Amino acid sequence: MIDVVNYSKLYGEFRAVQDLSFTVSPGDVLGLVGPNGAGKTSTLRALAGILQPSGGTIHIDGIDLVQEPVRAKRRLAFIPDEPQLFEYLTVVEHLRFMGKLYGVRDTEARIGPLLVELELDQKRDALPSELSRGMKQKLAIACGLLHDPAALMLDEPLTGLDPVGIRRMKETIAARARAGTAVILSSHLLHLVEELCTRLLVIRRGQRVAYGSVDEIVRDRPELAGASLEDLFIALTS
Amino acid sequence: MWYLTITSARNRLKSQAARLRQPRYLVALVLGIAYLYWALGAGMRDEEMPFSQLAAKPQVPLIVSAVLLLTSARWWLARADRTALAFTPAEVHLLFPAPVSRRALVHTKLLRGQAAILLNVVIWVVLLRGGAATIDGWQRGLALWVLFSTFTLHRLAAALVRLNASQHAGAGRRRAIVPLVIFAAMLTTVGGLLWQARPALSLAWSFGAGDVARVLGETLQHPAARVALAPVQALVGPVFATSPTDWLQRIGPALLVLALHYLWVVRTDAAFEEAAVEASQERLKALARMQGTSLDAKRSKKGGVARTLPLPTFGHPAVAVAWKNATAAIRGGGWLKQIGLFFVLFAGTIGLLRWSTGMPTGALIGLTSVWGIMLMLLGPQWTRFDLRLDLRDLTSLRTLPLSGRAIVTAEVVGVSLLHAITVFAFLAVPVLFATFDATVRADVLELTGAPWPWLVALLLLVPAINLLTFTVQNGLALLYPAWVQLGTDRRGFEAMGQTMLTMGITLVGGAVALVFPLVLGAALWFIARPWAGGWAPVVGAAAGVTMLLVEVIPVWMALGSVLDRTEPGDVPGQLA
Repeated sequence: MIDVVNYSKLYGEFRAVQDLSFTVSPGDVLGLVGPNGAGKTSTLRALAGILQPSGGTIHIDGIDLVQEPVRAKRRLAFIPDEPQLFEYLTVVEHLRFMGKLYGVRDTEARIGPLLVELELDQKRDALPSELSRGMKQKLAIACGLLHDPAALMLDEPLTGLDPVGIRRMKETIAARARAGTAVILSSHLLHLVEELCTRLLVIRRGQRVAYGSVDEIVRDRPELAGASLEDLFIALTS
Repeated sequence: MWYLTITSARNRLKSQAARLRQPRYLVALVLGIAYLYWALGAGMRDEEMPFSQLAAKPQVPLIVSAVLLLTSARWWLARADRTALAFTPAEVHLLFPAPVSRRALVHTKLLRGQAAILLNVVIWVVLLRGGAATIDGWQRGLALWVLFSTFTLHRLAAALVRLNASQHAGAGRRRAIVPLVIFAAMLTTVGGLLWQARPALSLAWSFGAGDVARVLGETLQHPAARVALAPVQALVGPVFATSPTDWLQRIGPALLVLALHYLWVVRTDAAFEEAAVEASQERLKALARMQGTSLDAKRSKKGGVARTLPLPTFGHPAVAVAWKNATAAIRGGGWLKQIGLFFVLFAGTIGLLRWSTGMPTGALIGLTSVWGIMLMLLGPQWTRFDLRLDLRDLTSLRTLPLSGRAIVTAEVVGVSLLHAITVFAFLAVPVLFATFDATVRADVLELTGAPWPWLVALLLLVPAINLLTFTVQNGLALLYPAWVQLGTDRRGFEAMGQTMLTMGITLVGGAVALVFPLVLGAALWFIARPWAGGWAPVVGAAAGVTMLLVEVIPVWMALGSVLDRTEPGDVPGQLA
């Protein structure tokens, strides 16, 4: 579903990401982890079509993101860590806007259940300035989910959510994966990664240092057997 | 504080220099320097330039002083201008809790404003070139620096006085009384004299702009006006100096006014910190509102959100982008309110002039046409609900499942059509006058044949010309995002030079692009006259508009490719 081969990103002389390759299949939840400045955001942004890769190829649902960006973007959703919303559109108008952009035929029918799922049904006519940080995050996620993306990328999705919201969000992500969506989740919250992700991609200084399920990673590094994910992370990235 | 200011300025210069690695920035800079060299060198000694002729007229400095006084009135009459006080989030978070005196904070604010002032001094020295046959460029530059710096201080002081008065009841109001009384006295003196002169001004109007300027000059020569305008005239004087000796005599009083303003601001800093934090928080909110505009009434008092246009269920997905911008203009930009206010003010002015001076319909038609054309040309500076707004959040823009071409087209077309409604409404007024006012109908019919075909021609021409001017503005923003102001923040008087420069480029670019459409349109109008009769203007307009679209559409395609290659790192000040 998401195929990345030798992806590289240069900023002038600086190599932010170098020859990164990985695959996320339908139903998989890939945890993208690494220390600050490792290249996670550059990778996620390239996968969302925001940044142009300096090298390599990215395919979303078999479509080359560089060659056919519009077709590829119709099949993905990117939810940034800092929700950016249109301040002059209400909650429901945001969803109508996204429905039109993504060519969703039954937008109105989808809006109701989605608002209920994300506990936004009481706020359907609210403007973003009237929403809390967590509500804004939920709206950004609702915008991303409306068109049933084949690939879903989330950057720190739990920021600003209350405990109930966190539980709901985790359920939503897991449900999407069960429905066949390929999910990439970037987070520093290792317990979230451990709970939700089927596989891990650990990067450091723009390079892949580990990739696979925890068992597969431990198989390659037997000295890490029995270590917690936190210890694993520190050992792999330090 | 010096360290912060100087290091920030140095690093900013470095990052600007790094941008010159991109050919388009380098080409623009080379062209700009070549123009400056010509303007400040060869062009400076040209006594035939319009400014030297203007500077030679004694009434011009007086009129400029009155305009500046009336312009600055909004800082006192409108609600406190908090943007004058705003600091950056980093300054609020790091400087305000630090052991730094209020005075040092004021100085930081003033020093930071100098970058914009100096840039605009250079722009204005170039714009006013030609008068340098009388004084050197550096002398005019210094005079302009004193003028801009004083007005920046005045704006800051006005904001502080207003906030002092509103937030600190007893003492704050007492401190505000003296400056408020002085400014009100200056304003009412000048305003009153101009009001008394309205019959003479109305008469002069029928003879042309030169006579209007002469009457204005005579009115402002009144001793009371001269006293009221004295501080402003002291500032404007050196800019219009006729010789180095004259400049030397005039620069002293100007520097004195500047020094007095500086002392005023420094002594009014009592409520500065609190007001500045509040202003900065407001600015942060405004940034979060995607650079929200000054008109910020998204909900009515009853709690309802302003109604917007329905989102079309048919058509290309990019229509959604145009709809989003129209909604932002209606809700955030108060577009409907602006139109309403504009018309009420205009109708009021016209009614008042007609009632008090008996202004003839012909003059009213002329006035309305001028206003409409001005709105068409200046509108793109004000109505910024397009790429200039959305580039601040390029990350979101780039995730949309739309090609760069589709995004650019939607951004330009949406705002152009919205603005076209305003302009068309204005330009239609003369046609309606001509149709329903018997006193001019015969003259207009003789001149135009029939008014209604002209209305149809306008219906075609206005959106097309708007498409052109908004294309230039959006093109500049996309090609030079580091040099063009993005968002819809209000800017101070000192940034007027940059605004005029952008407007100048738009007008020149627009004029060049209009050559072929105008020639084609005029030719077809002439050819069509024998068989189309009164409808020949429509034929000409249709041909001109077609030609204009042939020019503009490839530009959108090219700009779309630029957008596809632009990354968030290329655009400074991203929201996320």
